[in-house]
Amino acid sequence: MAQQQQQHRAMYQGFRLNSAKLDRWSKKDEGFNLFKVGLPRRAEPIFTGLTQQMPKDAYNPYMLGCISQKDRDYQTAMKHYEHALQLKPDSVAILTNRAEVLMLIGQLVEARDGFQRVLQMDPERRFPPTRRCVELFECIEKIIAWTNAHPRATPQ
Amino acid sequence: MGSTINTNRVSGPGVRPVEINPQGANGSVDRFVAGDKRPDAALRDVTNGGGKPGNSSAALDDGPSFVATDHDHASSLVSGPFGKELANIFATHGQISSTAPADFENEVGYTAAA
Repeated sequence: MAQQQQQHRAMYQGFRLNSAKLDRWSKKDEGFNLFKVGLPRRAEPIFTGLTQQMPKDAYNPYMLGCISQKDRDYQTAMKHYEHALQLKPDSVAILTNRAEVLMLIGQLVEARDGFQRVLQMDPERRFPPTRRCVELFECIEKIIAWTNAHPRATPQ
Repeated sequence: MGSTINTNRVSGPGVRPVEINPQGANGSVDRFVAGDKRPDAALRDVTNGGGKPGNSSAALDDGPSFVATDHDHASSLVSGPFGKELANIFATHGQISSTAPADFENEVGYTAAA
């Protein structure tokens, strides 16, 4: 654990972190890694706990949203993303995922507006979620055009 | 977990439950039970594009290839005429966009500066 904290201390140079905070940051990384390797069920309690411990940190509800989105529980995902956005309204990562959920639940125009907002926030496409957004925005433009042309086939 | 199947081989009732990883990457795993006498419905859950049983690479200009009977809009979306395009995006960028804690924190500095 000491070695892990040392690594995290190096990783987060510039941030004012005490030992307790470092421990929580280690937990965040642990949860993120569990999610990335396909173990969202094990990541979920970590982020649920961290949400209670760090109520002003947007990352934890954001990751809970990712977990719900992966489970295709889009309503819960939206709830978590909305919570995260209250804490960090200008987050490209959160806005991208929220727009994607809007797309998946069929709110295509709102989703397109969400993608557009992200593209405006990061015009140089420097942040990875924005690069995802570029393609999703192009795709949703086509989907909207197609659904307008084929109203009877529009999925509900 | 994470095994891949050829959806062309899912042909009807009696097929055993299979774990599918359409992209074969990013740890994305979807599960469906294909023995529910609705193999077409099961196939709609697979982000393979096209959405036509037996033709997982249906051309985008084939027009509507699905019937909107599912509650899950996403399933219809990914099996509709733009399913292949969406599947390509998910294959390139991952099924779910997730950001590491450090990158998420750095985003503050970036967006504040932008």
